[in-house]
Amino acid sequence: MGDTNFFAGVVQILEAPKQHYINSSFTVTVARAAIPLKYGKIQLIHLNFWGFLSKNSYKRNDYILVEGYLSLRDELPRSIFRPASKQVTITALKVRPFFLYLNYDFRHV
Amino acid sequence: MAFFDKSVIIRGIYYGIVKIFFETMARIFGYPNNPGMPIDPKRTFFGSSEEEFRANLPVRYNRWPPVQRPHSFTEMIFGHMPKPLALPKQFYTTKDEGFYNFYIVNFSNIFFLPDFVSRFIQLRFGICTDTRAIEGLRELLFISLVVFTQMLSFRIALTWFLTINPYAFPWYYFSWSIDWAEELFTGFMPSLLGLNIGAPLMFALIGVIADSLNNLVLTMPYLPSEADRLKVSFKGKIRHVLVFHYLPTLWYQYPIPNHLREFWYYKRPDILEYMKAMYAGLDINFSPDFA
Repeated sequence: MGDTNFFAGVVQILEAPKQHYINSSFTVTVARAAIPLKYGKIQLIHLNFWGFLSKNSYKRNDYILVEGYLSLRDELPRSIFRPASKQVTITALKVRPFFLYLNYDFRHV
Repeated sequence: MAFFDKSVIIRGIYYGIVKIFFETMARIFGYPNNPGMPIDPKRTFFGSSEEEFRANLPVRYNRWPPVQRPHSFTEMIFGHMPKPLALPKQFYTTKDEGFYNFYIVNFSNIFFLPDFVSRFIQLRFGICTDTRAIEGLRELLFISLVVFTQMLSFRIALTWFLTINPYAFPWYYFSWSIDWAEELFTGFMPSLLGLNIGAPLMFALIGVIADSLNNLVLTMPYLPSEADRLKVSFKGKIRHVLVFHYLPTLWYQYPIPNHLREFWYYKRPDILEYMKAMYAGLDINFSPDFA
């Protein structure tokens, strides 16, 4: 630890992760996830898996243990109040499964 | 936009003067051979800095007055009603992303409401997917600004007719409705070389506000910070777009508005079924409250 940008915790993947190809051998997987804070309250984050970590098979609703670093991104061209409109992105360095969602409904996917 | 185009020339002249001044000063310290203190490298993102990315975005120009295409006889005779030229939102539906996704073309001069304002509007006023109320407010503000500009120019035109006394009976109602603003601006900006620059300044300010209203993007039911920056190929050209997709953040964090859930239940059961299947693992209520 020792870094304010360090993050380690359980997150829940909210939407099906999407794999993007930077070139023929390099991929990045992007997924939206939530940090469960307390009952009924969540913080939405963007998860980035680079390189070999991107070749995982985590699906929607899986809980995973993530160790990585935080960054705040400002995707918008201009905003009156800049700090209020930033996205939280976590780039994963280590990923482990925590609780995988098994009652997965395949009818609609 | 016309005000900005004019100001660019003045800015260029000013920059030139400042550049000459600094170069003359630096030449005393041996400027071309001695470049001075090193500057911190700019923050980079995928090879190009944020500033570079924003500088390369196209600027959205709104032609004013817009192209006249009358659709009725009243429009043919009296001309168009002024309307804000909002940035079009392209809605789309996919199996993965859901039903309420949309994207907009990214320009460097569009702007959004701050997150907390957008959240406040959505939670307190129950405005979710249907933003007609806010768009109506924007249109009202825009039309009133345009009408005020017309009144102002008419007030200035009145001073050319010496036979008309703007402080006599039929006209003084009109003068009263305008002069307060001119007095306000004259208070801020005293006349320069005997010339009152309050009125031109007011025109410029109203123009800037009206143009900003054109470029304001409403992102309901999403929050502005949820934008995803993407590149798409459109007619052989690469365009930068901002995509708002998946389930909106507010629907995760707060209950979905009941009228929307009722709408799904009664009119669009396919959306309800999709939401229930797609977000089964989460603690979100998609069914309406039967009070």
